[in-house]
Amino acid sequence: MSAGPIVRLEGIGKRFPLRRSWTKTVFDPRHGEYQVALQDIDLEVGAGELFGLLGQNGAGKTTLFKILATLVLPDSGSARVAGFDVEREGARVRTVLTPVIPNERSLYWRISAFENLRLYASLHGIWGPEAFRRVTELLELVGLADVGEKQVGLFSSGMKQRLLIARALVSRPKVLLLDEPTRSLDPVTSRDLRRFLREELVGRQGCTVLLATHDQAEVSELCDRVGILERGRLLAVGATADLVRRLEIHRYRMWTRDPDHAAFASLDLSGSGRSVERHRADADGWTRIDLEIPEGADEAARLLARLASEGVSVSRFERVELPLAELIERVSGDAPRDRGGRP
Amino acid sequence: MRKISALVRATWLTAKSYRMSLLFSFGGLAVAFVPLYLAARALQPVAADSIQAEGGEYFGFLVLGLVATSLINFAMRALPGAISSGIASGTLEALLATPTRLVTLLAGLVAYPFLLTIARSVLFLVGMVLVGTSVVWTGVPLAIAVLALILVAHLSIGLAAAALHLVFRTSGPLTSAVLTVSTLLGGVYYSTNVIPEVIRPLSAAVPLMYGLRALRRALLSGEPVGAVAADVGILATFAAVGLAVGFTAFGWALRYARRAGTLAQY
Repeated sequence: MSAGPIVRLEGIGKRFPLRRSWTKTVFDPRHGEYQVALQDIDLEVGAGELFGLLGQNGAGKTTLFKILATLVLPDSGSARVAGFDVEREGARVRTVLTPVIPNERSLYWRISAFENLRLYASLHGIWGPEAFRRVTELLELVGLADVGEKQVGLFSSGMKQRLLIARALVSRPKVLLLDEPTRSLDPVTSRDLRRFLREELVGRQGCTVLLATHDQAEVSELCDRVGILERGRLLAVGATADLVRRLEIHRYRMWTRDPDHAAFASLDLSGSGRSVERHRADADGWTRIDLEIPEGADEAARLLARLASEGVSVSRFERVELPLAELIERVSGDAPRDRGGRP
Repeated sequence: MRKISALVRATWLTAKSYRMSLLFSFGGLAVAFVPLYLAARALQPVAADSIQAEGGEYFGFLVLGLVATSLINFAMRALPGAISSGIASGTLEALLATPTRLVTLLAGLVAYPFLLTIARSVLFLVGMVLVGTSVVWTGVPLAIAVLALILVAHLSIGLAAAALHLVFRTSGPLTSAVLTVSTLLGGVYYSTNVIPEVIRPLSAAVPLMYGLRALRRALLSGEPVGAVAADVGILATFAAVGLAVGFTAFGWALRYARRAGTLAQY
């Protein structure tokens, strides 16, 4: 994992002017209205780390990425990538960091996937046979080798998404920014991409990956550390498992045919767990019950054994992720002691 | 240069995929040429006196005016056009995320339309020679230099228009106004001598007027460098000052767009 921070953000702040009415613009030109996108962000990401940025829409993830990619300038604070300042040394930053621009339209639709990648290889200073090799290798990597000569406009959304990722990898970046990379991908391609990110890109090539998403499962599966961003504030940063443990997030889900069994009635009283939510029974008569067990897995195992010993029929019992909105609510409540983001 | 070539290749391949559009862009040239030639011949007796100092032959006079107009049209509109479509599609943001110098990127974005304009102009000039317009071949190098200066002088307007587009998403009437004024007062279709005296002084503020006068005198009348030096000097001043202002405006606008986060917002 970390060999020292390759991305360092100190006090990054960004706000965007809001559109105002003509009347306000003319009669009160000096007092603009602003939307705060990022507020006092401190963060360090180590070289070779896979860092997840978790947040809902509008949390500030994309703005943060655009600042790192030198596409947006910060209002305050400083951001450095591999020691280069994003504001003053933008060109050098762009030699080591590449964003996956998640906009399909940013591809040249009327030319082939091969030509798209060849163009970007040239813009990164890769020419001739080396460019040919690199482009061929990338098309194979993202599973587009068979359609490399086809016009991109004829591709499906998922294929374009894969091409966008391949485009970002052309320069073998030291830092890769991925903004919701599996958004348009089917489950198999998503799984393959995650494996590729984890094993090949980070594991073998030592690339640092910053992944912005609102998919907790993706973060849990992939990331070494995670930062939770909400309304422009970095609420918490930590190792993914630590964060879940620290927030005491132990939610379980079970399916039973005996939701009214006396054992359930005693759960709250016994202290071994508490029923969070009981859903309606499905067509086969199984009722889903969501439980929160603050003591964690050992207590969950004891609870399951107890239900079994009392003859309660349980078809499934599994640990589940806390919904993002709820996770953020908890982190917000916990925020003061979770600020700061050193790896 | 290789990066510019790569961008030209991508644009060429895109243009090539629209086969009919490409065909029409050159086919239209032939369609325009014939009536222009016939109209110029008909107007020759009327125009001859006023264009005596600039070759005296109206068809050659007209073709050079139109070639210069197509160059300034390119210079003023190609860059804002490329910026506009780049913003709309998102390609601009993707290109700006590469380690390519801004000047290289801008040159690459407009290189293909530039080559297309040059190709069309050359075809027009070859047609002009083929139908018998007399050209002084020793004046060709000077004519090329003057055309280059005309181009650069108007590139500043293109940069300013692109800057406006980055900030306001429109360049307003800037390029249309300059093109109209240049066509009316720059001597594209007629000599500036025939412009009414009341508005003739306004021609002095039109760079195209100096460029066209020097171009025609060099290529059609065969006058030496010394004879057109004053016009070339004024044109060069327009080009130098304009380019400095244009690049400053564009650099400022790009910084503004990066600050406001509007680089990829249409």
